[in-house]
Amino acid sequence: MSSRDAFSFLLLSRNLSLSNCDDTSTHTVTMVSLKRSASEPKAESRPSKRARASSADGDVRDAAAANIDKDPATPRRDPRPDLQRPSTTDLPTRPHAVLDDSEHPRPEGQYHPGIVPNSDETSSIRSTSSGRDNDPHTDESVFDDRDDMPSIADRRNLVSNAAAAFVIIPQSSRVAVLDEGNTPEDTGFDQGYEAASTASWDVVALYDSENLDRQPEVQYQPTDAKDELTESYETRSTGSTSVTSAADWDAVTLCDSENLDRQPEDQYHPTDAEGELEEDESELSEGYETGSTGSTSITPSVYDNNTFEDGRRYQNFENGYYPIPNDREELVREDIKHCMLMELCDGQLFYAPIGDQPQMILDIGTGSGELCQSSSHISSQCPDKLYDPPGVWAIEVGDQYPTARVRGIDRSPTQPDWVPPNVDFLNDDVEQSEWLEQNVDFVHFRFMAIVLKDVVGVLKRAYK
Amino acid sequence: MSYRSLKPGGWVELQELCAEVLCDDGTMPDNDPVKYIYELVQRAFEKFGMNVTVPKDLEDRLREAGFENIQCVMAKVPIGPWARDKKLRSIGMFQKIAVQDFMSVLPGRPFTALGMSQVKSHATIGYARSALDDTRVHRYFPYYFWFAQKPK
Repeated sequence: MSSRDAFSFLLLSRNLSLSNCDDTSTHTVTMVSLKRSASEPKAESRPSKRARASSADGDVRDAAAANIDKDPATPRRDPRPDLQRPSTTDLPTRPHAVLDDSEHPRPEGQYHPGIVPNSDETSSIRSTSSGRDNDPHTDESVFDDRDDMPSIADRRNLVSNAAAAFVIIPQSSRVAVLDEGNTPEDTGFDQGYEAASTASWDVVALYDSENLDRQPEVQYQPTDAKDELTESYETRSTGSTSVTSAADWDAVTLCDSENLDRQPEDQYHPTDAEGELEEDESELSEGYETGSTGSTSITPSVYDNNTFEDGRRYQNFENGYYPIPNDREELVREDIKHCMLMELCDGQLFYAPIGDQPQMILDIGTGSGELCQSSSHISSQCPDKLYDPPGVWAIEVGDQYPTARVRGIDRSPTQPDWVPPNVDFLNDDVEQSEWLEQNVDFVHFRFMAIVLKDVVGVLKRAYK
Repeated sequence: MSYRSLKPGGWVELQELCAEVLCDDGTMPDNDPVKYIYELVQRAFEKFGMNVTVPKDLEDRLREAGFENIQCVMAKVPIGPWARDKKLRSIGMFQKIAVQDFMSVLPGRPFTALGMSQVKSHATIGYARSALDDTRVHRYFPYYFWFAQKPK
């Protein structure tokens, strides 16, 4: 977890300056690099802009500039004559690379575009980059290396492609993604349907990623009659090659996007041939009963539990009235507090001595991990998000304790779905219902005692 | 044998912010705008059935729920980059941004619950925002990390 990176990201999004901090150099470096990359597409139209700027600035200055340009004895101003400029192959080409120093370590004493070697030269870079449109004296060659960099639009495409690639990365053989390529039309699934792979990859929820309000066109009803079940299975197996090839799925959760009250229906798929399906019916019923323990509880319908007031989004879990929003701004604030506490506790996630091999950890009010959101719908909304540091407590604990199963509970379904395989989330209210988890080793609350209406009641529920 | 929630010997931990603005060296006046904002927050959250200063009284509640071996770590988190220590100054910057963002929430549901008008809410918050930039005032939040064990 690099809290400083996250902090720099926040600063970038807020246009703040860290004038009061000692770490000004590193933060300013990041700010300057982004500013320069943002102004990069201007490079092609620079001459016309310069001409316009010159005419706007006045004739006196323009004439002076012309004189200087004509004078061969006048040396061109280079803000950094001692430093050798790198070749274009040293330039970062990946979209992440602008903010990522570790991938492209810069050599000592070498000028690297976008990265200022020390804070003393920050001011020169700033004045150069800001004044280059209307200052004809500015040395253009400093920026010439950057002309072959991808444009902002290209970078966004790269970022979105990268995000799509993240979704498809098979963490295990159980992942299957239904997209335009491998979804046959005769299955009844539109191309808009895609498989959202969940925490442990055991369960694949099918939902319409583009139109959350649309009714799924295929609904599987778990039935007792063997004939109907076989028919349903046949339809699926003959129609969809991709589904049968992923024969080791455990269950498929179908989410009804319009009916909030209905439970998602689990369709159990036998791992082998059709004959086993007809022979072993007890296995089928077992599949219905066990349901899914490895899934998120999120269906598209839970996103409807929101109210918008004054431009802020409030959660409306079971008609609750909660004073604090749950929109992106608030989630980022939660991540700031997470970074702050990690700094305060020297990277220690908790103080309780729970040993090295806990089995079950609960995180009550788990929050967001907004900065680590990698799911496809979020990435498509924020194409200019350049990198994803981890943020949420549950994810970091899941990484630190691979033996443990970590479950985050929150009233708002704002958690990321790209998580370690031992982490999942439940959309629930710990004050209203009995807890589902048993044999818990460790229950963690953060910033929850204030917003719980009955602290003792929740603690007693944890104690039970 | 399965236990409903926590195993015997399992732990619970609460990492909490006690939302009252404190100052140890007398640099914060009694009518400090930031302190006043959080007094309003306290009154507003009471309307929602919430108590923002409950973190400092969690020991009794943990004991009432049956926990034992109750321990607490308390930390002072500066609001704003006024601390001399480098790490605390960075933390203070984090906390200041968190407070600034929280203030933008307040004219919504919390201060509406107090019956404050939008104009008055924004004016009050404006004073507090500008006061946050003053590093001569050494405000801090107390943070409490409570952890306790279920008896074996």
